[in-house]
Amino acid sequence: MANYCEGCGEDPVTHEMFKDPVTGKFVEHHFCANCPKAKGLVGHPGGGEPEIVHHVSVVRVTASGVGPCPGCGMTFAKFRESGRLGCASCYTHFEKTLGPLIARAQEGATHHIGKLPKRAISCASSPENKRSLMEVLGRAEERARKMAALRDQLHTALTSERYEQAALIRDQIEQLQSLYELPSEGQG
Amino acid sequence: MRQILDQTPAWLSGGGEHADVVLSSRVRLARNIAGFRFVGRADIQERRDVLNLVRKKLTNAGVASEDTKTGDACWLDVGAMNEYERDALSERQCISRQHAKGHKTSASEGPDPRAVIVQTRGESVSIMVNEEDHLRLRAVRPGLMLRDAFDEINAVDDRVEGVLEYAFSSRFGYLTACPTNVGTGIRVSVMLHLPALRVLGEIDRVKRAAADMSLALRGFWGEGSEADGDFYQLSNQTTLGKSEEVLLAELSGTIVPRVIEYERRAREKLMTQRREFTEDLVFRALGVLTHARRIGADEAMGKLSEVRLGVTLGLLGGPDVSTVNRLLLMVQQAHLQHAVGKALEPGERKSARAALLRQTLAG
Repeated sequence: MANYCEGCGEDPVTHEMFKDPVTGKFVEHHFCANCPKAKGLVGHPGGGEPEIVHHVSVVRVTASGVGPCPGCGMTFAKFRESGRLGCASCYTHFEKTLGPLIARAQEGATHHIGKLPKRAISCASSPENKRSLMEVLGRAEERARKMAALRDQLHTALTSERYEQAALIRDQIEQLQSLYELPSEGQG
Repeated sequence: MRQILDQTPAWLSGGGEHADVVLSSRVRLARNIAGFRFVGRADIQERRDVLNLVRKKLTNAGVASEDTKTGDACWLDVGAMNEYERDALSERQCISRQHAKGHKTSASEGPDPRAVIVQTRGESVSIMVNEEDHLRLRAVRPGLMLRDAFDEINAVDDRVEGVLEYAFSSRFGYLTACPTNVGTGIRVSVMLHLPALRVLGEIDRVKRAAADMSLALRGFWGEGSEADGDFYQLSNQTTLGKSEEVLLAELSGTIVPRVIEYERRAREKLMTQRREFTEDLVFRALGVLTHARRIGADEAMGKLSEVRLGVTLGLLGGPDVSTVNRLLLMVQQAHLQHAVGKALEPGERKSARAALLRQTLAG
């Protein structure tokens, strides 16, 4: 992460994400406020001026150690301020810092257990859908963690004599096991 | 829209299991569409794109209909509504207060592009488009019927997912703008009427029981509000790491029966140990509602709650529970204006509300 403007090399970075006016894509650059070189570097010839997507100070960025989300330009500092993420990519981009925060808010839970998008599952038998099935079910390590979490929940439900919940958790374990037996990339 | 405002939502019918204590059961799912920024981060054009895509896909799939007269579930453009219509939908809990308000837009941009799909008959299903998440699907039932509400909204969710790809990750599940909703995206809640616990000063017992189980207890009209008229909403806070079925069972199988039991015992105590006090409370409330010339919404809600208590205790021969439930909605500001058929100045509302109550309760 650059701390100083890539245009003049002297002032602290304030602008980091730009929206390319032609392609509409987000481009990451590190410029100080009003750097004359910013427009020339990012702007497309004849395509108008680039739109500055957001402004962040160097201090704020280094707080998470990660730059803005490539999907939407959201910074971690901005997320801390608003409590809302900007897009699906934020979850991957900020995963390291976000994971423990989510666990704290969710009684220690780190992985999703429950409903899965039906389309990925029902098309699992066709070869072109292998990837999406893997995306939905996760890789081996993630699958193991989910199974371990479910077994913990089953144990807790049984020891506290909540048999209705225990039966539901058992069903969930069986259902996941049968899904994990489906052929998909990234297994093992 | 008029057709909707003229009917009483099915969840206020007074039916369902344990209806003396449980007003309604509700389940909502938060979903976002893959490939778009979340609503709070998207510019107005992207929010319009989401709205148009959802409208096209869901009307083609028969989940929503453009025809408000014949369709089972109609598409209502919230952005194009006037303030009173939006408030009315919010009072009926078809949309949230936030959705009624919308996101800020500039004058040149026009209204915030947002909509709601409402099941025309009974309003048991609604889908908000472009609230905090692209889609917020909810089903609601009278009394304690969480399982039915879940089954219904789960089936709607499957139909929506058949035509729109949701943002989903293997680790975090259904991805939502706020990480406190991530995973299942589910909020399971029951609306409880707890007047006896309040009168006996025992509401803290419920609060403690809820906190012990990491559940939230809030006022009836949503997040952050105090309980108006002794109506409380009890809901799950955890959305990640437990399946929908387990979260549902945690609420409906453990704490809710306990709270119902607390409230019933408190009501019994009122009848056996404080009979005269209770009768006085109930008849005074009915007296105010049938004779007042000016009454505010908060006072009306409080008195209706006490009358509802009297009805469930068998102290009053009338009105019936469904009438009291209907009045809880009709005394709200936007519904009051709809009932009298014109916009009311702040000074006129109290007298119009008192007249409406006298008229309804006399008949």
